[in-house]
Amino acid sequence: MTARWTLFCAIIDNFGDIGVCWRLARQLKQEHALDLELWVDDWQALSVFLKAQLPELHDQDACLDRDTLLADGVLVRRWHNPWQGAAALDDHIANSDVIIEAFGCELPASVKLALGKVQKPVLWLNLEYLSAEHWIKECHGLSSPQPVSKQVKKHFFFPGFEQGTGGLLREADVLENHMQWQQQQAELRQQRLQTTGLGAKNQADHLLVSLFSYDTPALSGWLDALAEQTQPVICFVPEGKSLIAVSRHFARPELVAGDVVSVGALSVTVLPFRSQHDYDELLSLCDFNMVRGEDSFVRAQWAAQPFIWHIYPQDDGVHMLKLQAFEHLYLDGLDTDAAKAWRAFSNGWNQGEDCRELWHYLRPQLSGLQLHGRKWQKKLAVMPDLATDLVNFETLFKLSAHP
Amino acid sequence: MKTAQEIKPGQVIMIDGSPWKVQKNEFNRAGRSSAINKMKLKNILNGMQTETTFKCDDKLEYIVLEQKEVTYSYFADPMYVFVDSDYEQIEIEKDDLENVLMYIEDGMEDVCQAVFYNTKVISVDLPKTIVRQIAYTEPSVRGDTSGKVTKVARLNNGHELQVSSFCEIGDFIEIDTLTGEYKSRVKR
Repeated sequence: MTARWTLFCAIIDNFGDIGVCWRLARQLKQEHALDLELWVDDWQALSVFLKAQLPELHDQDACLDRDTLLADGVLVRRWHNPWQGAAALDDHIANSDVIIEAFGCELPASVKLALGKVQKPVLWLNLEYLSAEHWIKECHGLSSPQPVSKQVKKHFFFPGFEQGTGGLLREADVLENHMQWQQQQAELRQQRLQTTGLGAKNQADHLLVSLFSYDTPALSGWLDALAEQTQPVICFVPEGKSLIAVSRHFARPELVAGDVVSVGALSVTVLPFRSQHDYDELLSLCDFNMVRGEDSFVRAQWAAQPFIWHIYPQDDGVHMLKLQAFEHLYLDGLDTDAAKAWRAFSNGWNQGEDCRELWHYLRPQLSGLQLHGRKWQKKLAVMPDLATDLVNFETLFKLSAHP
Repeated sequence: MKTAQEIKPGQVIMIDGSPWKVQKNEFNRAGRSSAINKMKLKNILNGMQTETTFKCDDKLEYIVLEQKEVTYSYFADPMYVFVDSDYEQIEIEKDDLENVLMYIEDGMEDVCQAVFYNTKVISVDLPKTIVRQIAYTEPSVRGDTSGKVTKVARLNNGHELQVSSFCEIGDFIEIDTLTGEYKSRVKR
């Protein structure tokens, strides 16, 4: 009998939460043939997101009228806040084989009550944020006893970069896709320039970069540095928070998809909200990627092109410790000059400093960083991916519940 | 009920009807505003040890336990022996002293609290502030009396901690037993 999994996703801001949950849900459905329900609280954000993924869902208003959607084989259900589940629905969820709270979101109270009545083993997972910190390995997989039922076992599950963690999201075809895109790089780059109104430019002479960061004062100095290069630069900016700082830099009230702004060697082109597949291709084709949060950060590592991670800023500055933990793993094996340049730019960017000089220091290291990125990608690809690790965890859980 | 982050080492929480003593409670910040507590627990009834994780705001049932004033007497491997005001001896295992072991030394006069569960002692708490003597530290840095510059000092029982750079061998210092940090130099 097919295992039934239920995944809860609360969208806090942007599309990072749903980006990760959608990838995970699709992979669990398509590669592991699970019966999967994805519960999402922000139906408006979900509709915008899904429209980009699945153009056939072009009628966004029609999506908003429904409480369930079947998208790419995944049953997506509206998580009303406050929860409007009837007792039968609570029981239906509670009787899943696996229930996942993504990023520490809380199950509805009535679902927890229903868990107290289940007569079969249920694995309840708190899927946490990705981190490179050492304590992740010590906490991964540990139980979290809850006063609901002895049949229900809750565990914490931590994605990570090392053996002993839950691994990273990696679909079966992602590395092959990147290989193919990079083999056809010249042709695909030219196509991309044509679709963005920059077709006359000869892509072979250009440095291509993508920008998908949070709003930061660091951006301005970097754009200045790109503009004063001798080599022409094309900077792709997907719609999103990065545009706030880009608009400010160019003294434009607003930039929208299709806009192109040129100054010195730099042309900035604004892209419409991308599908995940299309964004993966963009990462593969660019010589340098500025990424953020969790989803684009992981994707940049599969693309294996040089990147800088704009980590989600936390009020007490704890994000800098998380950044340093990643640097410690990622820079291992990279030559000293390249590592120093990468670390300086990364810290400068994440602390909102002027990155103009730091870019001129980093730019000559890109070819070395690309080679390093490929080694890093291979190292990560040896580990089981997150979805497979979750399925393996459930298998062990079932064995322990029915020895 | 207390939240996971409010629970202190030495306290006892109930899980599935069994009392578990919290031996360690580590707080870690996850992404955004979430935080996680990792606890090392020991089952008071059967001695089984385990590690668990909780969201920092998970509510846990904890129980208030009987306490009695005791002072440290001697070490009789593997037990540490304390005595109460009636000179009754109370023995406790090293594992159950994990959070205070570094401050236990012969001749200490601190009045401690032995904690009991159904007549069995499960932990000993030290006063919030204790005074210990420095057995060894590098010579003082001349001219610095701000206390902001620190150096390592070793206590009589071998435990090491950071102290102000003006502290010297033989000095007595106050230590916060909850944080493990040096507070000040004191005269004796």
